[in-house]
Amino acid sequence: MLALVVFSAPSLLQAANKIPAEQIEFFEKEIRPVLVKRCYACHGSKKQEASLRLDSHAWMMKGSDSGVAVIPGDPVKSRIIQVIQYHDDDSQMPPAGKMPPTEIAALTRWVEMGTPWPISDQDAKAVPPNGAYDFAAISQNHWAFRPVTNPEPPQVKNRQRVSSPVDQFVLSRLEEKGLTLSPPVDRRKLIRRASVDLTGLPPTYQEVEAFVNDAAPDAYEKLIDRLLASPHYGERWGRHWLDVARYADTKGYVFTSERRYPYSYTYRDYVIRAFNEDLPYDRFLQEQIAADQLDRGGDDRALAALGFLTVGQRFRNNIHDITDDRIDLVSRGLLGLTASCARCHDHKFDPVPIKDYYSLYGIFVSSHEPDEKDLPLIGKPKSEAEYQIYQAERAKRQKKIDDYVHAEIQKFRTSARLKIGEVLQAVAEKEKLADDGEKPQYEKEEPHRRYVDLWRAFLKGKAKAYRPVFAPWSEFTAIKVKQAEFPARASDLIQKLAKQESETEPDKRVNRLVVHAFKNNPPQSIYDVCRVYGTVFNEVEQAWVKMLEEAKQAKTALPDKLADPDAEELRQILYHPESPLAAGDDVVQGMFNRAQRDQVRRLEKEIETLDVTSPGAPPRAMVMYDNEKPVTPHVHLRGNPGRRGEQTPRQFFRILAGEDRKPFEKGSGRLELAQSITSRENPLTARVFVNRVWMHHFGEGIVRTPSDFGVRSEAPTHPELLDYLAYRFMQEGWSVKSLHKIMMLSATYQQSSQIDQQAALIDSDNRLLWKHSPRRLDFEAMRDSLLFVSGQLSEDRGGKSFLIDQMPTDPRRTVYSFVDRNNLPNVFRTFDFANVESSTAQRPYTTVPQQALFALNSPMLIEQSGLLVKDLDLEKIAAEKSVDAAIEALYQRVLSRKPAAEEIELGKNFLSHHRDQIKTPAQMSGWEKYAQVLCTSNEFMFVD
Amino acid sequence: MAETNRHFNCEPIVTRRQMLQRCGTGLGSMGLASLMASQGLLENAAGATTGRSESPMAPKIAHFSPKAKHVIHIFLNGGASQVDTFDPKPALAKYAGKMLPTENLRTERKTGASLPSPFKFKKYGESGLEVSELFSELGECVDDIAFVRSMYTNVPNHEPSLMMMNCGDLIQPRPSMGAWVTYGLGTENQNLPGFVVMCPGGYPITESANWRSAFLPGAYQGTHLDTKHTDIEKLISNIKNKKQSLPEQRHQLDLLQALNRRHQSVRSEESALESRIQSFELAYRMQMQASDVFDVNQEPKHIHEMYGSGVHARQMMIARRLVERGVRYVQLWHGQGQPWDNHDEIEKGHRNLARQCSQPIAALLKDLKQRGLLQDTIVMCGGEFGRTPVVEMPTPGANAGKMNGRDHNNHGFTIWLAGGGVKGGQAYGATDEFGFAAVENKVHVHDLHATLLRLLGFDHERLTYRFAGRDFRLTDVHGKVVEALIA
Repeated sequence: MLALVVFSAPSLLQAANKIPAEQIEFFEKEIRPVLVKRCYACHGSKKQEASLRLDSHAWMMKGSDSGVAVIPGDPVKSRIIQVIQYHDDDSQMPPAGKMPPTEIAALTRWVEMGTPWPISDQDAKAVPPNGAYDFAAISQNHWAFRPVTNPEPPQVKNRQRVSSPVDQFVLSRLEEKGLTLSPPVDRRKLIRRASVDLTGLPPTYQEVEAFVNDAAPDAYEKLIDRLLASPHYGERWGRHWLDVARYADTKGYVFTSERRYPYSYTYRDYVIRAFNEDLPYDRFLQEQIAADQLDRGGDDRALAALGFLTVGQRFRNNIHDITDDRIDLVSRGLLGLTASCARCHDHKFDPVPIKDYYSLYGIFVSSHEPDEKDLPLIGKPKSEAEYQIYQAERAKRQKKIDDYVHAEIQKFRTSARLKIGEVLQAVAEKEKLADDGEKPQYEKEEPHRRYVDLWRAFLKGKAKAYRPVFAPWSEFTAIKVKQAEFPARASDLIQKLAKQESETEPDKRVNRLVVHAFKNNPPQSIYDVCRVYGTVFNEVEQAWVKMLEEAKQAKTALPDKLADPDAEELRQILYHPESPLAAGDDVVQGMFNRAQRDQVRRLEKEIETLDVTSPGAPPRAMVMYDNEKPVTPHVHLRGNPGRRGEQTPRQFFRILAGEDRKPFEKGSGRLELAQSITSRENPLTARVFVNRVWMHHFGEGIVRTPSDFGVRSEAPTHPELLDYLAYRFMQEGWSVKSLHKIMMLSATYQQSSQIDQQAALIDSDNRLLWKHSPRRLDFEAMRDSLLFVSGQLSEDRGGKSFLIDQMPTDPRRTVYSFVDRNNLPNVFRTFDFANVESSTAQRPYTTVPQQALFALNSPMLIEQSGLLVKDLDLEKIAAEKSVDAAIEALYQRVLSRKPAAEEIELGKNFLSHHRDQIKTPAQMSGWEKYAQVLCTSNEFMFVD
Repeated sequence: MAETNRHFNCEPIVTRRQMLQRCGTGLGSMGLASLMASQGLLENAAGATTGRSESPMAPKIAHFSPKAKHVIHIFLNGGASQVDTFDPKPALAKYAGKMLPTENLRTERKTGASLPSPFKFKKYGESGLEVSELFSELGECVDDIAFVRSMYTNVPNHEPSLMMMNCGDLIQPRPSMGAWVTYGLGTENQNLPGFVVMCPGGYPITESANWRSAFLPGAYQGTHLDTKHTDIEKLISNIKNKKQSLPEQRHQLDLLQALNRRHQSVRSEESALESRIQSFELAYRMQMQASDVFDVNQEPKHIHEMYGSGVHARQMMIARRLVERGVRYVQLWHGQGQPWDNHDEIEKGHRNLARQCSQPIAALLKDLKQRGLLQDTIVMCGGEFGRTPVVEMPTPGANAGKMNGRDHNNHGFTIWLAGGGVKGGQAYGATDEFGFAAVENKVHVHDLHATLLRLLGFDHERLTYRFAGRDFRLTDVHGKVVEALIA
């Protein structure tokens, strides 16, 4: 709605008022209906062929991709009038057929009149941004673009409930509606809520009891401090961030190459460490965008932060799509700005002109990623012995490539010396030296295009030094006559050459062997000339090879030349360091055919696979570096890189950087981008992040569209609270842990989740926060909690990922599992995992029977239930103490509480039924089944 | 994300929020309602819900009354040659071995002289439509089939063309058509996945991207099954408990639900608790009902004879059984990789491929028809593009130096449709004299998508999903419904 207000350009509206009434009538009667009927199907609000839109004056004046569409007052020069004339040699519009003459006349007259177009509200809405948004108005009118303020917490009636300023903001809105907070939640539920929120794991029974019995006034604060200090905190909140970062361990579809990233885990580990160390959020973002350009104080581990940009999908190496992914990530993930909409056209709702999109594009395409093998080392592998094995294996695989390439290159050189005739034919064909009817003949395949070019260059350049050999070539190729006349002309030429045979002057003599060959085989065409040369060279090469062979066999010194000087002259060319035959290895490799290239790729993949799989492969950071020469990008019209539009400097978004923004100057501009994003003047960064953290604590954000703060977003439920938190967050050095504390110490966080009928009628969505929202464990918390209560959870942190869908279960935390973007394991999808193709703010929430099937039947649940029973030794407790005691132990472990009497009864009934009723030999013990029930119960799965 | 999304831009019958306001019963009844609706216990209650739909697969109502309820897409991946199958071009024979009088259009690789089809065409049915001997079994069905002979797509490469055919975009990660359709319509049987993909031997190229949900919730992604296996567990993870019998498990489930009810009794208004309780009951029943769908041994002898033998026969039978049980969208791939990609030896290759699937496809059409299922099931068959009517030139290191195959062709190809409100017995559109490019009534893949969505009851411009600040749709900003294909 705001957008509509600010888009309306006042000058146009004023102009509209001055249109004489008769012109308005003319337009409405004669022109608008014609435009609607003839033009709007392709140039209206839905479609804009060639980017031309004719449903408002402003759009019309904006023109099309190819330029101005109308010059008011000048119909002859106006394209829209030209094309409706239906000239044969011009575009003809409308395509369906020429318009009736009356309509053409009316339009022409209208343009002559200066295109009077009365502007209605409808038109005003359709004013094209054309990059010319009213930035000043938008930044004043839309809450998210206004500067972050530091609002005073409002006064409230119910002051006893205020535990932190957060409560004042919440209570004040509740009280407006005659509501208040729910009563405080009981302490057992509170510690579970706080533990799962901060660490993704439930508290132990002992922790619960200790907290419940801790009468100290700061018991709760101490609890939060303890949880924030736990290494499990980073594993939980790092995962939330990885959703935003669209983290995955594979590249998307890559055909036959290695699809796995060997070092993506270093980014994941960096994120977890950053949260655990409470790295200030501004620094956290700067490192993720430009760690390579920051002072890292000698600690290069922060380089891994750049994985933020580089772990995305690879789009089969399409640079435009890779860059689009990065722009989307940075703008939506960090700023709540949907800038990728501006890839093809100015953003339709938000003030993001297409030029701003390409300003960011320029930043990213001015950086590059080194090859995987050249990525910087940022640590040692876990074991030195493994490292040695890895290095040896890697060297072995590298040698395989080198050997193959070397052998193929040698093969090429050997055979090429015997195929001079073929390459000369290809030269002749390429330079169109032959008559059309003639075709070259090749034994197998045509010589490589690049090899032919090398010969063309050689013949025009270095070959001049071998005049005696190539003089005939020059003369033959100069003949250029119809095929029928060629033999006669060639015969003349041979006679002329024969006369030169006895010359000794270097610039007059010709090579005897060449002349003889032509005398013996008078050529019928230019291709014959090539073949004659081929034969001469072949004989020389064969003689030379034979001579070498004989010397080797006789064990005599290797010869250094052929005896016959004319033959030696020819041999010199075959072995000349600057002849195409001596082209460098890389040049020859560049001429490999498809089969050879495939083989090299297969061998390279073996190395990549080793990097991915070997436990001895040292960690490397997936960095980006600035290019030496940054580019000043062009706009791609309609997102098409083939259609370049205006140039635009590398710089930040206009709406955020203000009118007097400066183009970025340092290298690609990534560092400046990072600084602009984390500037305290930037109204979005802190708000967006604070809102994300709020969302994870309270179920919904203060803004319920967490990655869209644009004009179409939902307004914040508590705008002042959002600003208060954002302001304090920045004020207190962007400390994320402090931010948790501000939120969690509030009475709002600590209230119960019980439904209040009265409040539900007034605010069914709980937007005003009159209760806490209970939540189901997400996938990671569910799996980790299960491992935790079964006593299996591994303390092993970081490093290469494990596969989630394999048995026996890897007991590491779920955040360390392998995220296959290409084929996401079923279990992730079943449990609403984040979208791995682009930044995810909030996961979907579904309840589907496949989730229940996992609980009932999955090998993992069955396995962990067994391990849990074993870990507690329930059979023994039951035998030595009592069944009641065993049930109690089970409840304490899984649900962190003692069972009620009725629950014990239910349990005992179940166990005795199992004992008495199951006739066939049971594969699961009664205890195991019972344990499985508790581990899949709603109580286990939900947090109040 | 999900919170702000309207399921699609048709007038909702009743929004979740309205319903809650009207009923004032809290969330509980809604969660239950959609679960019950999914079992056909409560008709039409789900409608178009807004917000976080807990049961994403509950049946929903389309924009207008649909002609089709199901789709079976038979994907001849690799790209079948139109001039050898459904688009006869006798003019090629005139130029056999010679360059065509028109210039060869640019395709992926170098092409040469005219390569007339080695296969004979014959007229069938009342409509007299011609089909080559490769698919002679389909002859009896031509009066139900609309051959769209004027298909075209953007580029002559497999990956982008697969993405275009399945997801409506060459390269960006967009949801597949099956995902869009299940998103829009839900599915009729909550015991089975709504969108099933079968491919013997593994994955086609571009793999699961072909049936991805992209930014739609993951529930809408196709469930892939390698039909070389017949194991139900490959289709629905954890559908069987290997450690206990169903009655034994029932007893365990009773304890679970008793504990859940206790837990719920002091939190009665929380719908999420009730939904989860119900989902366990559904899951339990699913174990019994889902298992038989792949058991084609239950089919009588005459049905087996009709479909023939081999993996394609089984795959087609399963497809029918799935549709019969209310599965919304089934995609059948010819095989792993890109089997129809005959750059050389096309005669041998195509003959062999058609032999594998021609009888089963024809049997599927007849079988669906005799059961009255064809009228609301769209059967679609074709590749990601077609092939050139001219021969492909040998390239060093590829096609083994042979000159008897065809290159990819995006300029013109054939897709056929049958059932589900499709007007059969017609050839729509045409390629040029030689079958190189679509020239008459051209149908882009976007147009095909728009038409299919229409048959399923959607205005393709209104089946949208809000993501990253804009409303996305299968046809992006393109697509025109081909009215002539609709009965």
